[in-house]
Amino acid sequence: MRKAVVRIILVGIVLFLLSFLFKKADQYTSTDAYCNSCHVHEHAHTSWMQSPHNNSCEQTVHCIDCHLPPKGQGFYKEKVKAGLRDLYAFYTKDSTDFNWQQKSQVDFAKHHTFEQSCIQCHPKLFPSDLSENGELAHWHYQQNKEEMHCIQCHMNIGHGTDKKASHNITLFTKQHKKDTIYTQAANSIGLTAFIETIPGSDIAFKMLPVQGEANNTNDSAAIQSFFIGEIEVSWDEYLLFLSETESEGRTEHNQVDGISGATPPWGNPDQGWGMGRRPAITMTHHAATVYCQWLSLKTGKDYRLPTEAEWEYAASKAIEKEGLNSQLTNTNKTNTLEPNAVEADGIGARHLFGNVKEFCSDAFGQSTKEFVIKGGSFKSDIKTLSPSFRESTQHDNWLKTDPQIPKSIWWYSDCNDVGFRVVLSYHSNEN
Amino acid sequence: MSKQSRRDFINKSLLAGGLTLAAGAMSCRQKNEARPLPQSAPDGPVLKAGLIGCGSRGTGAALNFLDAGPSLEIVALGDVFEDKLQKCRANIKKEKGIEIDSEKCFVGFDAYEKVIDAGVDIVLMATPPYFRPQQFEAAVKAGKHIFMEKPVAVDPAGVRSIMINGMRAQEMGLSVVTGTLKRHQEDYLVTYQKIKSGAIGEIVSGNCYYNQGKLWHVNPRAEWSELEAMLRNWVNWCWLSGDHIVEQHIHNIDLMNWFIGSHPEKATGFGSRQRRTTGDQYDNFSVDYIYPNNVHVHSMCRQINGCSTNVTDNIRGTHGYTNCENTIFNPQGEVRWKYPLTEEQQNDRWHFFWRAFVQEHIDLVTAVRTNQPINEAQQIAESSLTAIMGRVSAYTGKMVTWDEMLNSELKLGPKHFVMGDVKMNKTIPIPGQ
Repeated sequence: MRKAVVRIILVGIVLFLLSFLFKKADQYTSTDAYCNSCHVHEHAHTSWMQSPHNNSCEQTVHCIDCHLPPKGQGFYKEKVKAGLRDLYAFYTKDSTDFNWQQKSQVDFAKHHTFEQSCIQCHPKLFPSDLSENGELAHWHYQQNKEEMHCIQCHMNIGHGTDKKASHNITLFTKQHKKDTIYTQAANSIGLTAFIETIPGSDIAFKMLPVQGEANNTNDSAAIQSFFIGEIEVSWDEYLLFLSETESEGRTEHNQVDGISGATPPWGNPDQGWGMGRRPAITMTHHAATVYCQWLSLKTGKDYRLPTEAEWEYAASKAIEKEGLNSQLTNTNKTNTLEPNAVEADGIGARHLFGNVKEFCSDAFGQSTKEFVIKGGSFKSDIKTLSPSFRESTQHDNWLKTDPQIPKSIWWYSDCNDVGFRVVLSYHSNEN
Repeated sequence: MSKQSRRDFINKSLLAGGLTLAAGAMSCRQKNEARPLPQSAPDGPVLKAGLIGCGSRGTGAALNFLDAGPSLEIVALGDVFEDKLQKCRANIKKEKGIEIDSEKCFVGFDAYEKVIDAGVDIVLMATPPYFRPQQFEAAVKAGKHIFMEKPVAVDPAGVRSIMINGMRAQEMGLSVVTGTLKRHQEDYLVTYQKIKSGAIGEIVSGNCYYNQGKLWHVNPRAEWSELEAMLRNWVNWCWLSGDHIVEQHIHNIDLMNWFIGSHPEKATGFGSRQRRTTGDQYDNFSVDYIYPNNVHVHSMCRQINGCSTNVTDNIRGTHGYTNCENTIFNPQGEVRWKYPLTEEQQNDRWHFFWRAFVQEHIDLVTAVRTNQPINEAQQIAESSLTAIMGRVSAYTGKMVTWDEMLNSELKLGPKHFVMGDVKMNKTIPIPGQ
């Protein structure tokens, strides 16, 4: 009897000690200092220090508050998983090889940011001071909880300086900075390369000649000669279009020479990768078509999207000598690049393959709302790409998280690798 | 679109609302059949209510509120028209002996804001439904409990506002009860429980009817502006009432959504205007609603004198059918179960119906005083949108989907509210155009 009592007491003491040690270990491994102790993601620590989750909340939000679920909702399971994963990575991999930029994008970040943790601290989705846009966005979230994650709109609030949702609307209300102002459009002569200049702006871009299959013939199926943009339409060009035509609301269109322009985007359309000569992205096919109409009005030419046949023809010529190689493409990456990051191809163009998928004017199959997109993007595997490789837009999927009603006809909320390139028919009797 | 969150919300509302009250205690609502609804709200600190919309239904709602239990007061009134307000004030004094302070009687388009700010705990809303979303938002943001008459919106923009502020009310712990009477009628609640327990098997189809004679209309007068004439004749103008499929037939449509446990996915409707003399509304609709699992519900409503009348519901299942109110039949049409009526109830065909007008307020006050909030905003918003779907389909001649309606930009009514001419399209819709 006495031995049994002693055993029970000993087991009790051991259990107490184990529980004490477990608690201490849990506390120690739950601190921000511990999370940052491996010194491989100092940038994450710095951006968190700047964020409202560190310095403007009523209380500091620690690493584990977002990157683990709340206690009682799988906390320890996820902690063990994350711990083992981090230990394995720390001792077997070189942290300089880690793609931190990729990890901080929504598609990846939602795997290590727990939504129930957001909700734990922010249980009320409809505070009285919520803006009308915020109300619609949160209502939309309520309707589509399984498909959405808080960070899709509140991406830079834990690491970054955003105070609420990611907005970049003011970017588009700024007047474009004008250095050299072109007064007239280019006067192209013959089937030779020329620099197009957009009147009233400092924006210029190069158009390359593509010799057709059957010049001066009446074969309607043959590809006629045309010009194609050296680069995908850049943010510089697209921002000019936006600043001249942008509508303030969905029902009040400003008229600029008959073109009703895009509404301001919801969120940050450049994904934080930068603008300039990088390709403009996330616009809809409709927006790209209207851009061409605007450019045509501005220049007095007939700019348009390429047909699939034209795109394929140009792409075939572009790689017919050297083939498709990584020097010509931005593929297997996590973001867009500027044109000069790759070499010019056989026709002098850049990024026909990779970088962004490019809209064609053709509908995809019998669809009335899907269009052909060519060339793959930075996300594509170069091995899959060829002139004939074709994909379809995915209108509904690419607007899944757009909270506006009706959804935007100008911006895709959920596609960051689509853009376009302009073409221009060549008429031999033109000067 | 995921339906999970919405279903969760509805289920919570249902459970917290009618079923909770019907079942009495939380612990027994899952297993037991419905118990008699409480005949009075429990006593507690005085609850003060303000009424927005002092027409007949508003006056009725105020009196119903006062009948719901002890320590209940009406302390403020608001209406666009002075004569309506004074008539309501006089009726409340006549019926209940309560004199409402003239300083808390507000007239004008902003009267609702003043009522909400008049130191009330509960707001009763009975204006034409066009105004409900704006008033509901203001009341919720001010932290008031709410009774609001059906329907709660006339267009999708209004429905979304009700949904959003319904969620906000839930987060704030506010109670929201609406005027869908059947959900507060004991016979319907008991029948509902039986259907949910499988008494007729799986639901395969339904019919619902609100075929009645002409309702009422008010001819314009020379001394009235166009807006005033419209407001006084509001059941004949679509932007104010939503048309009669929304304004009245919603009772049946809400019942279908309730029993089936979902809103429809599609609607194809017909309708026309044959005998109506004022306004811009139709006077008959016939709509085929398609619910999940291809369950069809035929909805029919008419407001024309001299025609057959019928205000009933019918739901068929794989093992029988029900009138939803009090009787379950086997497939051969023999009565399998009937709600056991007391002698008093047998002698009064409308016993439960009239009782429900007060029951709505008993349920609201009980929820407030027991701190067990109920929230019917989402369910009434969905029912309103269901009815709007039918109207839009009939007006356009096109099949309409739920998602189209939920995301539609359609917003009715003029942009400005100043007594005078009303600048808006007043043409009667023609399908196919």
